[in-house]
Formats: sequence, structure tokens, C-alpha cells
Amino acid sequence: MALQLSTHRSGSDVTVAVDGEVDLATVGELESAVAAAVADGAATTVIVDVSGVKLLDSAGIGALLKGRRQADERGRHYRVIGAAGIVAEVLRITGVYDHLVNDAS
Amino acid sequence: MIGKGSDADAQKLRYLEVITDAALSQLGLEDLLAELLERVRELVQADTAAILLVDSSGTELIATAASGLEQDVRQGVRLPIGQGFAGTVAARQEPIAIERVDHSNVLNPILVNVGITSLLGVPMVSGGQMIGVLHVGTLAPRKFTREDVELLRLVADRASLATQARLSRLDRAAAVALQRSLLPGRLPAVRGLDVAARYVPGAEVGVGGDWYDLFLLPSGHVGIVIGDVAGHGLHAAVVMGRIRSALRAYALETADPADVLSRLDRKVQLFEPDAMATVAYAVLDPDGTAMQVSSAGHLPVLVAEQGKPAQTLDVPPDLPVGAYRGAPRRSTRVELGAGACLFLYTDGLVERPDRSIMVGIKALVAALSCAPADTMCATAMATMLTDRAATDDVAVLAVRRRP
Repeated sequence: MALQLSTHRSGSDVTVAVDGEVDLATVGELESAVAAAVADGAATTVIVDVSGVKLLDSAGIGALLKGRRQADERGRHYRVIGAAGIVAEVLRITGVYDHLVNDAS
Repeated sequence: MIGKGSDADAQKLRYLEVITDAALSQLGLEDLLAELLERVRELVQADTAAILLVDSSGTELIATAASGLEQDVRQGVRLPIGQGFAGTVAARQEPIAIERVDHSNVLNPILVNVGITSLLGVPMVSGGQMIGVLHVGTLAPRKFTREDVELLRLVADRASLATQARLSRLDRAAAVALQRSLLPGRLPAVRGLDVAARYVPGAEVGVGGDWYDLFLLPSGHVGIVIGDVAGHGLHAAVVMGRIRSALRAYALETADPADVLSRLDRKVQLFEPDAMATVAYAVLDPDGTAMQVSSAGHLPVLVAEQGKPAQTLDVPPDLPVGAYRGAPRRSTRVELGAGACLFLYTDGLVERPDRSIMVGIKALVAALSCAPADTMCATAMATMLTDRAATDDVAVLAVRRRP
């Protein structure tokens, strides 16, 4: 299944909506979309919406974590929303759920 | 002498071909090239002949073989492509002849010191790629002819073929040696412990980012590791090798697994900025009755008391190594009865694209009970991987306190 990404801005929030499967083959696209959102000069908060994600493996988790690091470097807020079902499970079991879902900035 | 008739040339060339073919199977590359250069000098009536090969970066030529100019090779002469005589031949990828050598057209002081007057150089091309330069020189002034150029080109072709074949063989041998060094090694025998492991790489290349490790520390503690570097194939394996090694080094400094993983995290963040790995690290007390465990985003370690079924250890996972600077890490103390078993694994064992990972872990837990280490490994692999080949790396490690 392909990966579909769409980015939209609402005020100073930029949301990257992710749909489909995130794996080694598609993770590059996700990374680019998140990096672009973080680089957006008019944004103060980057949101990654994973409610449409069917599959997330370690590569995908890596991309989400990378986004958090990049956001921190640019002084942006960052959080992952819409994690549910098996996606939430895999985020919890690898200890990254709180780090990604709670906006610490 | 050149020009005495095409029969003489043809014969000489055939002689050359015979030498080259026979030598291919017997001589090492350097010897073969040196032999070739001897013949070329004779054939073209030159005083010197040399071969320079492009280095691994593709930006410099290295003197590899010489006849009459052995100093070049001994002194490791290097020439940037584009500079000096050979460098210019390489850059232009066409033959160049110089009737009178001087400092303006030649960079290599050895050529000038030896007293070379005229030079003819041709590029060595293999598979469309420029791999080196072959040149001949004379002490007396010489106008090189078209026949000289053609002869040199022919020899250059033979030398290119031989060089490419040898280098490919060396490359492959080096790759295989590197791969072998990255594979998990034999587990040490530790008194009081029964240990076994399995490793199945997901990629065709035969290595990957998963690993297990077990070692006895000078203090008497035993380090037990399972890890998974994000990514796959040779690149992940190379990063894994460094992480595996660094963990061992930090393990020597402190028996607290959270401390070890924190140091490892710092090192990875600084030196491998894009790398990420999950790791579970347990440090067994010298008497084996308890251990400290720290998890860097890794799947739950399983434990089973003697004669009992397995269950997941309640060790709260911290962030993976390489995920975030200064990530806090915790150690959890776990008591172990006599004959207790531990089972560690990577996600390749339990993950399936169409299924929740919790389902996979539950299936593994249901299948395992405390048993000899090798039996636990076999059971896990058979239960979890019956109906499919692993697409991801799989590494498992079983440890049992001898009752």
C-alpha cells in the first residue's frame, strides 16, 4: 500500500497528515515532508497526524523521532496526534509514545 | 625494432599475449604488471615504463608498477588526476606524447632526475571506466609514432583487464572478510550459565543491524545484550559493529546498565548522527541471583522461573539509542531463582505486517517455558517462523541459570 502525505497550514500550526504504510521503502517521503514542515518559517508548531497510518515499523518511528529533534533545533513545538490501535501499541512498547505525543516544548 | 615489418610486430604481440594469459593465473597483480612492463619496454625500445592506477577516491593516481623507474613505486608516488604528465593523460583520457620533458609538463621529480627526455602515455580503460595510466619514457629524444601509440594501447588493454579482474577479486574477498567480522561471534562459556543464540539476517547480503552479545566482566558480572540498528543490510551491519563494540567498552566501566546505555547514546549521537538502535542490556550479578536491566526502546525481555512458563519482564522502556539528546534512562532490578531462564529477541521474530505486535509477543510467550537454552531458541524460531521466512533480521538469545 502506498504512502500518502498532505501538508496544510492553519494559522501558525503546520499539520502533516500521513496515510498508509510507513516502512523502509516509504519512510524517506515522510522524512522529507516533516523536514519541510519544520523548515516552514511561518510555523511555530508542527503536527504529524498518524490517524491514517496502517503500518509503522522501526524506520517510521525513527522518522517521527527525527522530526522531534529537528523541531527542537528550530525552536518549534512538535507533536504526533492520532496514534491508535497497533500504531499506538508499537509506540508505547518502544517507549517513545510520551516523547512524541506530549508536547514538551 | 618498430617498423621492421608487421610480421615481427605480430609475433612480438603474440608473445606478449601468451605471457599475459599465462601470468593471469599465476602471478599477483603487481608481479604481472611488472612483467608486462618489462615486455613493453623491450617492444617499444623505451628506457622506462610505468603503470599508475586510480586510487579508491578516484582523484589520484598511484604508481603501482614500474620498469626502470622502480623509485616511483618504492616512494609511493601519487599524482592528482589533472596534474603532471600521467595526471593529464588520465584527465583527458587520451594518449599524450611529449618530445622534451621539463618541469612545466611533468610533475614527478623522479622522471626529471632520471633524465627522461621523451614520454608517451595512454589511459587504461576497463568497462568504460578510466582505471589508470601506462607510460613509457626514453633517455634520448624520441618522436613516438602512431604504431607506438597503438602498441601501447593494446598493452594497456591487457593490463586493464588483468587489473580489473584482480581488484574485483580483492574487493569481494574484502567484503566477505568484513561481513564475517560483523556476524555475531561464538558465545563464551560462562560458569553457571547455559547460553544459546540464533541469528538470521533478513537481507541477501547476509548481514544486518541486529545483534546479540554476552560477556563476562572482570568484576564477575555478566553482560547480556540484544540490539537492533534501524535499517538493514551492510550499512546497518557496519553501524551495528561500532555500537556493539562501544557498548562493550562502556560495560567495562560501569555495572549499571542505564549508565552504559546513556554513554552509548551520547557516543552514537555524536559520531553516528543519523543512526538509531533499540537495545536491551541486562547485567547479571556475579552470583546470578539478580540482574539489573535497562531497555532503550527494545521489546520486552522474557523471563521464566524453573519449570514455569515465560512472562514479559516489567522493565519500562526508555527512548532508543540515538533518538534524543540526554534521554533519561532507568535500571530495573529483577530477582532470579535457581534455574531461571531469560529470552531476548528482536522484532523480526514477532512482527508481521498484518498483525499487532502484541499478538506476536503473546504467541511467543505462550510457546516458551524454561528449558535448556538451545531448546528455547529452537522452539521460538520454529513457532514464530514456520509459515514464512523472516524478511527482517532475527536475533534471539537464551540464557539459563544452571540449576
